[in-house]
Amino acid sequence: MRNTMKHGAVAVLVLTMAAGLALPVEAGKRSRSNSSVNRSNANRNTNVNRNTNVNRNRNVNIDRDIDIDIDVDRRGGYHGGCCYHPVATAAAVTATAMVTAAVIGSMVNTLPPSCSTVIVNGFAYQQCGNTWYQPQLSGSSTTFVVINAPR
Amino acid sequence: MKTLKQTGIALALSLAVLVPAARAQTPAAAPAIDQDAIAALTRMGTYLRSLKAFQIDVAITDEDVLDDGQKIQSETRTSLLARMPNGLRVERSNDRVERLYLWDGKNASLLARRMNYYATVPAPATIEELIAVLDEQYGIDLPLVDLFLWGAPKWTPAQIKGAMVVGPSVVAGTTCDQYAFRQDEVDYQIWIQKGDYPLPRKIVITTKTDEARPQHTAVYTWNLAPSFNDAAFVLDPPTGALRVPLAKITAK
Repeated sequence: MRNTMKHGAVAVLVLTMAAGLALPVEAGKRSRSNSSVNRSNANRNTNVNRNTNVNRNRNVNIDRDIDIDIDVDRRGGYHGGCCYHPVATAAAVTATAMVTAAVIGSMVNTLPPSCSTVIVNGFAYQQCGNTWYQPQLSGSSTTFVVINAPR
Repeated sequence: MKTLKQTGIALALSLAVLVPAARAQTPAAAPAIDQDAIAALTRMGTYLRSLKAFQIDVAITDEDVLDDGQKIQSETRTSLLARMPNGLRVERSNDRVERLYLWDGKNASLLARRMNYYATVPAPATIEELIAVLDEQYGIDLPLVDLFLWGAPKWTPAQIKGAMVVGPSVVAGTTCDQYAFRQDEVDYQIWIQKGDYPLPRKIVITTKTDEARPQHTAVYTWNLAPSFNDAAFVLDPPTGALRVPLAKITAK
């Protein structure tokens, strides 16, 4: 219940801010400063654009990743961050509403409004209308995967 | 005589032109490696590995490069407590995330404070393996990993392509020696405390694989006598915290 209210509040905030703030930071991020000099990069060149780390080659392009895999999980994107960054939330909610609502396996960065938390086997799920989401922590953000109802 | 002299000058001139050209073509034109700089880095690594426990506060500045080349700077405050060989507690916060990473040699936990979600997974027993597993399986960049990799058995200066002693430099009131190194993908400068406690006090890493050359800067404040107990490395979920999975990067 607490979660329901919290997400509702975020959504309201989003609506008021979306027009003014969402666009500039939706620009794609192509790289980030490396934070390590010692992690070996020998076998990690899976993506041309990456560079967050000497050794890691992470793809940080924001707007191209539809897969639920390494790209989404690893980026610390401008609207890929977790939590209540207002601008990030704005972009994410917009995307959610338009595209991904009920496709099983799809992933969003922010929940739609009016969700309730359900605990199944010790893990938390979010039920938003008829759609179920599994929250998960990844490298730099929290994401929500659309799933079938857990049991 | 005059002719000879002119010939000599001409010869010298042509040599002066030829010599650099010849040098540029030889493999010996690689950047210089000052062994004193390598030795300082090695000594720092050895010293770091001798520490039984330490706590550091680190002010980190990172740069993101947008698609059009514009750079955006962000700051992260990181606090790290390490108990060697198998305890780690890292608190990291910036404008977007507040995260707590814990590891006790058996499990690794991650708490996202703003969302109040946490995840716990079985973890390797050594910190080198932990660093690799978190990165390769979960896509998690554990902060400050270099502090555990310098001086580790697998560390080697082989990847250093250039090394220079810049000279004495003061960082936050502490006198250090500044060094500059070059590797294939990064250049970095490191400030190592002078004297019997050769700790890294500051590092600047310049990423060369993007023409915008984003920089990572970290300034360390050290505490070599931290107080803690075993509970510091095990997650005690806050009230209302919800358990969720830790996403594997290979999962589809």
